[in-house]
Amino acid sequence: MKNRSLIVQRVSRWLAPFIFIYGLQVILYGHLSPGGGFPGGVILASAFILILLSRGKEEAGRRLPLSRAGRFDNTGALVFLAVGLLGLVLGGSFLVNFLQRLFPGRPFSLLSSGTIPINNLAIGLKIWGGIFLAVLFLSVLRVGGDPDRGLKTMEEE
Amino acid sequence: MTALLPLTVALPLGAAFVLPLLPRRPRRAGDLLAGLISGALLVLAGLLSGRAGVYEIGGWRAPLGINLALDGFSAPVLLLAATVGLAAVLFSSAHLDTYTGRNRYWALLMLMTAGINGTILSGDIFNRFVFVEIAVISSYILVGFSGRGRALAAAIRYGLLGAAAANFTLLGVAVLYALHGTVNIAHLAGSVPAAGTALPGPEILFAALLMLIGFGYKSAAAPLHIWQPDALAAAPAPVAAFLAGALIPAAGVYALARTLFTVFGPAEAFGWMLLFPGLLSMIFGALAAERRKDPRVFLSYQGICQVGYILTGLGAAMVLAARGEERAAGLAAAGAVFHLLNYGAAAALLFLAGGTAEPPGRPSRWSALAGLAGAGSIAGIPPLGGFFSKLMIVAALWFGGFPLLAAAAAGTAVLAPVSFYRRREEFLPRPAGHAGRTPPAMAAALILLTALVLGLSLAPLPGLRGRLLGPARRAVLDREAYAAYLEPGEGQRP
Repeated sequence: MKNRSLIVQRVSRWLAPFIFIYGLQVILYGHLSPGGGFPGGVILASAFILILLSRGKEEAGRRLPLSRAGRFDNTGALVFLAVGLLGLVLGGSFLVNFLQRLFPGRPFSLLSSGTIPINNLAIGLKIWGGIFLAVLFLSVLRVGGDPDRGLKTMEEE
Repeated sequence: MTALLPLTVALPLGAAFVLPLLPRRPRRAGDLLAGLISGALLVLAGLLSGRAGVYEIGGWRAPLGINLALDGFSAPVLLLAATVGLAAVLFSSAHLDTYTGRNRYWALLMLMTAGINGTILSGDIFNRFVFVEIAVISSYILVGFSGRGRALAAAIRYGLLGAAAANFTLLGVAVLYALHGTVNIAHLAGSVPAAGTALPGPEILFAALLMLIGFGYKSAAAPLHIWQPDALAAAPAPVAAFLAGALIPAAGVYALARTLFTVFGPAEAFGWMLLFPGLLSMIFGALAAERRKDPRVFLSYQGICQVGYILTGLGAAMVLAARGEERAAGLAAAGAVFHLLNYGAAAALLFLAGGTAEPPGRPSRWSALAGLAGAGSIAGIPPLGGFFSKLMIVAALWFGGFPLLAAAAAGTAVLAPVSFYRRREEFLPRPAGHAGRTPPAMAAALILLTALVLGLSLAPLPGLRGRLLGPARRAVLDREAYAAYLEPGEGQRP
């Protein structure tokens, strides 16, 4: 935590929420405009990675604890898989867009496209957790360091 | 029946993400889930064997959608992977007590299973690349799962080189996409011209070479084998069995054969590209095995030798198909696929049989006997499958007009039983006499694989030949049938 520039810390603290909201927007409008779950998830994660880089892994780990990021990762994948299997059961083929017929919605409006926004949300959640975890682990594993100790201190916090 | 195809990937993938969420107690919950999923996969693979068809995910036709394809080549490999997978899971449940992080182990094993099944079934080369990476990245971690120095070193080396090799495959996919605007295997089979006896264009040659390096690394063919002896020697025994019996045959050899035969089509140049590493692996693996003390390293080098046989058979099939010698090409292709199955089953059996002797195991006489069946098949001792597949490859080389190659393959095949006989005390578990007792789960795994090894030995019988080897030969060589997959109204043809 030492030797961190005050300007970098301040600016990143202001930027992070906006980056986060932008990520949410990219996910929620994924079926209407360029973007979607994967890029949106990366943007969500990058908000936390910015905190990690500017204010240290302890602070980032407090904002998004290890266990919660892991749960995001698993839940996102499971929701995606559930939508795929529901398509198999209800529509006859894996990942069939079974909601489209039930709730067609108005084309090009936010609530349309059936299962696609759900899948975008699931992928976004998974990528958010997954990318954040990957970077967090990279910041813990240092040459000559003790990876177990680094992770344990985080889990305790 | 092809409606079941996505389940072979979805079930283990789902289990992989449920497992980390399971509570630590009861400790056996993870074992139960992994066992149920693997059992279900074996039933699925059994139901799908002997069938063919295409499954369009989400109901979207290619090139808009992606598909899964089953034919005479992928169905037997799927069955092999499912049997080896169930055996590895059964064996692990009794073997894992020495490790911590049980549910993480199961999650990685399930992820690897999903990757392997996806690799076998995927109908386009980009998704195949992704599935191969899912399988091998999980395997990097599983190789180092014991956390001991030697295992970590092997895992890191395997992983770093594997990441480099993956880039070759990806670049190959990119070159093909740039040239033909599609990554669908059936579409590529219809649009990449088969070169035959002429030299293919430089860009196609380049793409094929990239694929050869990428998948050659995963099949541990010499000179790209250097990760394999270390990884197989340091990994937990069931992981070594899964690697040798499912990952190397599926993500390595099967993916390579499918790419070269179906995507690129028969050409003499590709045949020699396979024959060179094939012959090198065959001779080098057999010679290098002689000098290794560690029994698992000995088995690993013998495995490289077997991969050499498979690649030699495939290379000969490709050269002969390019020259239009259908009969000899068919014999070589059938022999290569048969040897792939024999090698996978026998190698997995050998690693598991050896694993019964690891602490705290006290192997019984029966586990040594099971190991003997595996060794017999790999060494090519007559009534067992490995003998017939090697014989088919040697005969195809001889009748196809490669007398020197046939002599080399036959000579190596004759040496193998000698080599195995001399090392029998080391790689077979030494029975602990009356105190010997194999845990029931381990015994079940050994019985399952012994049954597979013995069952495969029956495949060359005249009545059964048309069920396994005939469709496999057609699926490897008949590129037009695969390309016709996606013609409207003919989706179920091959």
